[in-house]
Amino acid sequence: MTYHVILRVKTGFPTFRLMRKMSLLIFALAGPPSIAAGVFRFSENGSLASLDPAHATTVYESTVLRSIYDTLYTYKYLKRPYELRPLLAEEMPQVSKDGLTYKIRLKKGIRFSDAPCFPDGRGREITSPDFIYSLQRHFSPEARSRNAWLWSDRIVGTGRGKPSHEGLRALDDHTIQVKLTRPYPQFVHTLAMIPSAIVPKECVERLGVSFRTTPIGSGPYRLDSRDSRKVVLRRNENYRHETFDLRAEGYEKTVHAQFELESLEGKKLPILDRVEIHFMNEPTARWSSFTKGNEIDFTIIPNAMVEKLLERRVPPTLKEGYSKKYFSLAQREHGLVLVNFNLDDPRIGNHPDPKVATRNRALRCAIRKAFDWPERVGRFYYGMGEAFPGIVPPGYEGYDPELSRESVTPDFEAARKSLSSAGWTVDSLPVLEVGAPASALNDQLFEQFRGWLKKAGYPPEKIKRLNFAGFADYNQAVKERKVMIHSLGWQMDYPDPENLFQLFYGPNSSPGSNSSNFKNPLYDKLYHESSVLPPGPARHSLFKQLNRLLIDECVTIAGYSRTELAVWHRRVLMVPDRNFLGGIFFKFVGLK
Amino acid sequence: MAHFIRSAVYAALLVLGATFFSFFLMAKFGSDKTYELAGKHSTKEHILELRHELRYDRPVIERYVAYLKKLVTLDFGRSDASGEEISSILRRTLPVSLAFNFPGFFLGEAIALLMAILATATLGRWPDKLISTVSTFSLSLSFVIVVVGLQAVFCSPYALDLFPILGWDTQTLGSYLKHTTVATLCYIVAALGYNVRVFRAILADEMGKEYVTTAIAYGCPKSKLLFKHVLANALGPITTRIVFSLPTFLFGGSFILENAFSIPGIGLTAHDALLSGDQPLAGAIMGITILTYVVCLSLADILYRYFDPRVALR
Repeated sequence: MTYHVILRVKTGFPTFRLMRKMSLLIFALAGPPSIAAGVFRFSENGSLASLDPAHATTVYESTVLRSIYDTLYTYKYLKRPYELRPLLAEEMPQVSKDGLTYKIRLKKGIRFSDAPCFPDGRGREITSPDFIYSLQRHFSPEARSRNAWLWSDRIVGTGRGKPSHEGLRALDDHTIQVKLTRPYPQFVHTLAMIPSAIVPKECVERLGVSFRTTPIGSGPYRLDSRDSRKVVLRRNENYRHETFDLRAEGYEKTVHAQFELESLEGKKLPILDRVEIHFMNEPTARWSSFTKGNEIDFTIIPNAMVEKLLERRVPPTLKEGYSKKYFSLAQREHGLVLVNFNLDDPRIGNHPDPKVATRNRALRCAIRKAFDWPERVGRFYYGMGEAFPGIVPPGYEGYDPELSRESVTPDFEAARKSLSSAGWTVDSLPVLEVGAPASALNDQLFEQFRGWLKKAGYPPEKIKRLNFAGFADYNQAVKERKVMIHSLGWQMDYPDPENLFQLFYGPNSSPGSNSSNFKNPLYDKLYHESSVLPPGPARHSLFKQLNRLLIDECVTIAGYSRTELAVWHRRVLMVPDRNFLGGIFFKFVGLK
Repeated sequence: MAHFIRSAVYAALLVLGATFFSFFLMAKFGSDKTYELAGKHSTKEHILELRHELRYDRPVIERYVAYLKKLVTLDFGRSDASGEEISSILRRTLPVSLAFNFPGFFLGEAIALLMAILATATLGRWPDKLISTVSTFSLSLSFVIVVVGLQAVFCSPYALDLFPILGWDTQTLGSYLKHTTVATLCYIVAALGYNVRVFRAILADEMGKEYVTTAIAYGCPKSKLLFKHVLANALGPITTRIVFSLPTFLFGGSFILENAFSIPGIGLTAHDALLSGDQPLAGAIMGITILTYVVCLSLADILYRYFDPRVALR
């Protein structure tokens, strides 16, 4: 090599030439990008762990598993409020007068998908013992079930490590009898949840731990491949004959005409051969990928894009340029966000000295008084909807429109006054510790909270942020009762507000779901009474009392239900509501 | 021979020390899987059972010894999260990361070296100054900004829209290049910062040595001086630097890119495992990273001796 070579390097910019050549080469080799026909590409944030239905607790797992497994019951695809309907069951269960015995008939001729774990590789018919096995395995330690609470001590003879033999019986190959210890009005809901999915015993036993990565069910799709970023589902060839009956799924012209589903009427399910679920955690990348048009078909509108995309927020309406290209759906979550006080912490919660306990209660009430819900909703939740007092969102049983809105209306002056009248001084006020996983969003939420308390006269240096590396660390600290003030987003397990009230039931204290560790004899008694009642006026009035108690005791700052804005390309015909249903809509998705 | 035995002993000690330290940190302060596995509605007894099953209740030393055994036999067991065998996770993700990162790593180092040579050849004149400015600019950019920026320019439908964001496909050379080009550019931009500066510093330092002055006085042509003498002498530290950055590229550096381009590689897997408390998986990746580092360290040592035989004499 000579010095001249270097001179050429300097003036010729070979890197640029190389780049140009390379990109030409790439296009020559790969051809133009194309939209794959017959494939629907769904996108999701988060990630997947085990695919065993016994482990499913999040919407991510249920999005995938709903397509692979069947349950006895399900919800109608389009009908709102949610309405149960039979899936593998022949009809709704026959319930005895005392509400303790359920008789369920199973459809005949339903088969598992083919898999090597069956003796001849062919999926066999599902019978009553399969259902019984699928429920019983939640109580055997090897299954490591996260969902045994659904039936523990409810079905006769069940409890940890005790699979029930008395409570679950196969009357014949297609009839099941379940005996309960006490009325459980939510029982049929639990049979529509993915943990109750019917699994083949021989496969679970033969595959052992590998069953967590090799799901085998009877649903419309089977798992084709999976890695950390993508799950591919392909049609289950053994799937029973089922067609899309719009009316039976709860189609209403006024609500659903905008989604153009009519052309799908009568189609054989599943409509598509292939569904891909892409896990994308980078919001900008996910959004760019969506707008390309030949990549993902569905996404959630990121917070930063709302201003640009929406014409109006109430009701959420896309600007015309976008609504020509995309369908959209605004869904209010079935659940709520709340900020809990850890009542086990003597600095803010219960205390053996009743005087201190009263003073602590006043402190909690003052903090709640300074919580500015309208501002929080405006800044962080698209400014959609408003907070409601207590934990029951409007529209649910137990919601009381006459309830005072005082607990969700900020009043900094009143907060300041109630602090001083309870005897708190700048010196005696405790250091508040607010826990959250480390993220820019959580920093902003914290600073907003601190700003409000400052307005109420709380010394800002006494409001500290407890930082956690990730959700796992944070969750652990909450469950170990170490976080004084913590935010919580609760997604209901089933569409019955009983699932909200159990959040404050004493026996459910951490590590259970009652992370405020609220223990109140009156509350526990009323909740227990309500838990055996079917929906109706008696239960409604108990729920109203429970809600008032939570507000009076200032256990939590609640509540607000977030709205999620989904958009998808107009070539895809669907209503992607995943509340309670997970990915059940996949089998109804059609393409133009 | 004695040197190699000594090196091997040092390497073994290094592996022991590094694995113990990282395992201890993970076991004592890392995330814990118990509560995720227990689910939302749990009880104290259930938590205790799980901690026992996950061996969290055993002394750290005992767990470390078990971990070491896994590392030696390369049989890592199963992931606590998905239940998948760790060896199969590694077999799936490592080749992806290798294929995804290789062009960026190779071109990044090569271009940086070329630019450093060019800068040294024109020391103090405008090409050198231009390169310094470019590298300072690149140094001041955070890698996240580089990734987001280049992705927006090359992939977004509002800009050039040349390359895909989604997916990973290596069926043909074309699809492979399509999925790696923007990531490669990101690596090159990043390499222009730190690498150019380091390489230039090494070379420029060499240029100030007495033998260079002597060679110039004897009328040695500049090209011969640069490539025959200066580069040959600087090759030791330069290879060391390149070899050292290899494990980072394999395991750590790729997380941001894999996240942005949805690549099912090992960087993202490691990140998720650490944050979610999947200790067997996180531990396995950590162990392999440490082993790779030590291998690279030895490799650098050997190469250094090869390029500069004087080292062996000292």
